[in-house]
Parts: sequence; C-alpha cells; structure tokens
Amino acid sequence: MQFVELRFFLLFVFVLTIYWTLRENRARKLLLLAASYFFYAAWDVRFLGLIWLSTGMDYAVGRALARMAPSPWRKRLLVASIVVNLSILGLFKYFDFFATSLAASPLHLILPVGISFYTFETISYTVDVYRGTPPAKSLSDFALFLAFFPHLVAGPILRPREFLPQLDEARRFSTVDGRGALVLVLGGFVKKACIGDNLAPLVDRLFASPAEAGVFATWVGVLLWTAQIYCDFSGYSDLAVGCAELLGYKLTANFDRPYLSASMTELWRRWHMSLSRFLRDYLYIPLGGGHGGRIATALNLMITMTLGGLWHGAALRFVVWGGMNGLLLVGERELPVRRLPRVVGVLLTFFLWCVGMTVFRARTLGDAAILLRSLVGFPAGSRAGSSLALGVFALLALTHLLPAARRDAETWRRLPDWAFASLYGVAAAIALTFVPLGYRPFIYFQF
Amino acid sequence: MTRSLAIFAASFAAAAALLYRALPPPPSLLEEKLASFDVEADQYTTVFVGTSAVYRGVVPSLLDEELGARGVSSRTFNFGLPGGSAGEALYVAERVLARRPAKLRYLIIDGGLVGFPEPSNLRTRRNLEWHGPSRAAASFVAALRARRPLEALEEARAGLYRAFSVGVSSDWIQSEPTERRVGDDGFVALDWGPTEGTRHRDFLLRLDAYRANVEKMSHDDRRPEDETYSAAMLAEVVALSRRRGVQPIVLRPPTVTTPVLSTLDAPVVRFDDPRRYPELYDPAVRYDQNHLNEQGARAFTRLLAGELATFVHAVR
Repeated sequence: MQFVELRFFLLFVFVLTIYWTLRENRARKLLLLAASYFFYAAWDVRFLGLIWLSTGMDYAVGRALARMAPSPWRKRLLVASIVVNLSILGLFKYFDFFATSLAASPLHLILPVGISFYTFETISYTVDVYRGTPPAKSLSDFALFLAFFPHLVAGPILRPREFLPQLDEARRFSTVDGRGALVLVLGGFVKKACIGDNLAPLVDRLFASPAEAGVFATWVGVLLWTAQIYCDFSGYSDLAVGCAELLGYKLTANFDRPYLSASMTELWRRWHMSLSRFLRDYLYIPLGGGHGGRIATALNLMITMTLGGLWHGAALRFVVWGGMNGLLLVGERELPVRRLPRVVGVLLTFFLWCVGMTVFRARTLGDAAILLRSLVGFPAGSRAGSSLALGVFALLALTHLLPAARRDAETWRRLPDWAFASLYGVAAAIALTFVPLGYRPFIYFQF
Repeated sequence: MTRSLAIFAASFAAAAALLYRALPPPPSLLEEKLASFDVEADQYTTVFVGTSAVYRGVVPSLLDEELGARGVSSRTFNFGLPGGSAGEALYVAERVLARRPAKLRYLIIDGGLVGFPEPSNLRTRRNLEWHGPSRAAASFVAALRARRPLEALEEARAGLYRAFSVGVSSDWIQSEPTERRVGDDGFVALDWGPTEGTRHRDFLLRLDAYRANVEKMSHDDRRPEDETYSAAMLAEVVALSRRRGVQPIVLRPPTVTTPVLSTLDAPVVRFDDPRRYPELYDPAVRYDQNHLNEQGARAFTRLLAGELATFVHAVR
C-alpha cells in the first residue's frame, strides 16, 4: 500500500475521522497501532512477525537498561540487542550479497519493507535509553513509535525523545497545523506522483542502455534522475510528515532543498537529514568523530559514509557510492572549498552529486563507468538527448529555488479559508490528471 | 471546518468536471481508428466491433471487393481492438453511432467479446477511457448481477479514475508516435513485429495442444464463461444499433480457446465450426489458437463476404 494509492487515501481518511472522534488518548493510540499494522500487513502479512519480534525484544531490553545500574552487564545487554537487530537486518538484506560474493548459496529471502528504517529506530531507542533517555511508558507506546504508519516504511528515521513524549497526552485538534500539513501532503503527492513518476520512463531509458547515449543524452538523463530521486523521496517524506501532522504528531523534516548546498558537507545536512543525523550520532561520533586528529577523522568519515552507502542496498555500487561521498567529505575538510563563491560551490557540489548518483543508479559498476565517461565527454553511443527534457529539468530547478511550497511559506496562511479550500480542490483535481497509471513504488522502499 | 470541506469538495468536483470535458483522450488505437474513420465517415456501410480476432482477421478492402463481386455495394471499417471486452465494444459502438454515418447499415459484433477486461488491461488508459460515469455505473451493475463482486469493484474504481481524469495529462506527456496501427481501414495483419513473432513460435511448438482443442471443438459447442455480464453489455450494443436504424449482426470468428456468446437477439454468422470451415483451422493459416495470419485473414474475409452477401440478399 503506497501513500499515493486510492486505498491508502481511503484508509487514511477513515483513520483520521475515527481518530479525532475518539476522546481517550489510549484508544487513539491503539487505533493508530492497529492501522499501522494493517498498513504494514498490506505488503505481506508475514512481515508483521519480524517487527513484533523487534518490538518485544527491544521494549524488554529498554526496560532492563533503565532499571540496571551502570555495569559491564548493562553494556553487554545493549551490545547484544544491537547485534541481534543488525543480524536480522543483515540476514534479510545482506546475506545473499555476501554469500554470492563468497561463492556460497544465497537464501533468496524477501526483504521486508521498511526493515532498514525500523531497525535503525529500534537501535536508536536502546542506545538512547542506555545513555539515559527515559524508556517508553508502555509496550503499546513503543510499538507505535516503531510502527507509526506515516514513517514506518521509509522514514523519516525517528528518535525516541522526539516522538515518545508526544504519546503522553492526547493530541489536540486545535494545535494541528492543518493548512501546513495539507500543503505538505499535496506538495509531496505532486512531487512523487506527478513529477517523479513521469520522469521515471525517461530516466529508465538512459540507465537501461547507457552504451547508446551521447554526451547530451547522458547529461539530460542524469539530471532528470537527480530530479526524480529528489521528488520521489522528498515527496514521500513530505507526505509522511503531513499525514502525521494531520494526526497531531510532529515528525522531523527529511529534506531542505539539498541541491542548493554549497558543499557536500552541507548537502548531507540537507538530504535525508534523519539518516545523516542517525549516522552522525550513532556511528560517526561513537567512532570518535572529529576529535582524533586528521587521519582518524578521515577514517571515521570513510567508515560512516561507506556503511551509509551499504545501508542503501546490498550491492557493490552502493558501497562505492558511499566511499565516494566519504572521500568528498574528507577532501572538503582538507581543501579550501569553503572559500569558493557560493554559486560556484553550489554548481560544483551539484556536479559531484550527479557523478555520485550516476553510480548509485547504474545497474552495474561497468554501466556506471560508461555513463561517467560519457558525462565528461567520451560517449559510448550517439543517441541524442531531448532539449525538451532539459527544459523540464530547468523548470524543476527553478521550483527548487522557490520557497512558495515550503511549509513555512506565509502565502498559504494569508489566504482566507474559502480561498484556500477552493484552490486546494482545484490543485488536487489538476494533480490527479498528472498521475501516471502505471504502478511505481517509492524508490526508497527497496532500501 | 465543515464549510471549508464543502468548499473543497465543490471546487474539486467542479474542476474535475471541467477537466473531464476539456482534456481530450490521449492517443490510443481506438482514437487513431476513429480519426481515420472520420475522414470518410459518411461513406462507410459496415462497421466491425470486437476483439483482436476481428482486428487481425477481417480485411475491409478485400471484404468490400468480394461483396462488390457478389452485387453488394459496401465500405467497411474494422474497429476490432486487441483484448477487446464487451463493455468496451459498447463504448466503441456508441462513439461510432454518435457520428451518425449517413450510409451505415450493418454493425457486426464479435461474438467472442466475452468476459471482463483482461487483468493486464485493467489499469490502463484504454480501460479507463470507456468507463465514463454512465457506462461505469451500468458495467458495475452488470458485474454485480453476474455475481462478480471483485470485478464490480474494478469497474467502480475505473469509473472513479475516469471521472477524475486520473493520468490523462500524464498519458499525453508519455505518449509516443506509433506506426501501422490503423492500417487498412482498421485492419493490421499479425505477420510482423517482434512480440507477435514470439507468440507464433510458441504456437508452433504447441501444435498438438492446438489440434486437440480443434478436435474438441468439432464435437462440443463451446459454453460461454460469463454470459450474464457480456450479454448485458452486448444487448445494449444490439439495442443501440437498432435504435439508430443499423442492423446488428453477431460474428463468431474462427477462434479456438476464446469463449463465445450465443444469447444475443441478432442474426449470427458462424465460423467457429472446424467441420464447416476446415481451411480456417489449418495451422498454415493460423497465427495462434485464436488468430489468423494474413493468409488466413484473407481466406476468412472471402468466406465472410460470401455469408454476408447471402444474408443481405435474403433480407432484400
């Protein structure tokens, strides 16, 4: 079940209506938990077993960690919990990759949707409780923290201290930023379904046969791919944040117009922000962060970004992509990049991002090499690119500069209610005509 | 809050209604055929609606020539569509008859238009296109009466999507130019194209199964698999045709595994009997179990001309 499907819309409207008619906080939370498990089971009911296992185990571990006095056993319990969670993730996500690499037999297990996201959340819970954050007050609260359907399958990756306190008292309808949430929901829908999914066939064509494309066609394809993945993932995140807001819950933002970044360091603070924050707080800093000298810092960055790349999928190209990003972050610390004029920094950063995303999207490293050669003027093929497609990209780039659709944009808030409702209705009707009929899951669901 | 919701619903519905009227149908085989038909709409005397068995089997120019040789003046257009369904045939008939072609006398309905749209066609523009509000409602009711609730839900969903013009602009963006789809007054032979080639090779590899099916046909009359729904849709085609002064005729083409419909109140021309037309079931003229190749299409068209001429002379 996808956020842009009719059945999700029907489910959400149903849940939203019942939710706000209930008065008891506990009843509301149970409704959300039931709806979340229903939403998750819509993919495959067997996936529920795994999330229940993680929920039960880490709730118990959290309670135990909160009760135990500091001791080696407390630390061992935390490590055991992390190892079990990562083992489950590794089994489903990486076993076949490593087995094939080592010429062993793969298991061909289905990758449960969202496992990478909720595994990180449950790890952040146990680590935070170990560090002193109060544990969840009940099993149902913890279960809802992990399974809350707006963020369950592709984030944003939540931190317990941001979400669990919101469960303590009933959300009040009067405090919901309804207009902001509705703008986010429609904006996210437009980004994902109307832009991302319409770009997909053009992008697929390039990456399906990279050897046929000329320089211009490769550039156009890569530019459209950067637009597609941004629209797809940030659109999903906007939908997630907007849906949660309509239910009275605040989720952390995941994107902040990343393509306007003047360095890779800045870009990673504005792209998939909840993952960057997780990697920083639970991997980079525990490794020593930037406190151990230049070489140790560089090593920590490389480890963090390479593992971050591997988190995206069990394939060598993701490892290479992560490593490339690590190298760029290390390079930025060593070179005087920040002294460049901002516009040069933005263009240079976007170019480097395009190079990285080409590796990310290519089917194989061989394909990536063909595309990268073509990007720098040594094409393998001669297929011409479309100027119209480039124009579409330019238009999208312009919309990236406009703050009008941002949640904090005052334009929407200044409108009288009747004007907002009318405009929203017309915009929704127009948006529907741009939704391709072919089914395209969110790109990040596969991670 | 309630007021805002009402304003939203009203503006959404008004915009959707406006878009429904304003957005032209995206390119499709049917639209291409209609555009081709419109060039000389008032010259056509005979129109076929149906499945790919008709699209790939009836050669209009040859049919007209053969009918002319038998003293029947004719100009034919083939509106057969691959994977055509009864509901879609009704939509095609409505669109053709709405043009009120001056000389149109015969509407020939493929008797193989049985069952619901193929699953692969359900979520396509083509399927949505014929699910206008009234057609979707009729189709929904017919599916419920046929005790097919899941299909009824699909009909309702398609109607909803069509009413809100879901994907119309996207289909315009994604559409690519096509070639050779309309061909000779709607007919295109099945002897070319990489996909078709694969299917033909599969047919040749399974000739024993084909022969067994033909043998079975020679002994049993095939039963329709879903008579209620298709009969309801095609009965409307027949009624509509009569209302417009056009004679409906049911054609049972020389298919082997496709079910056929037998309960329509219209004259029937049958070619689904291998004992009577063994030449149409020779693997040499077949493309696969349900389609003829070009040679077969020509043979079938000649035989069809003979049957139609007999019918026309008898009516006179």
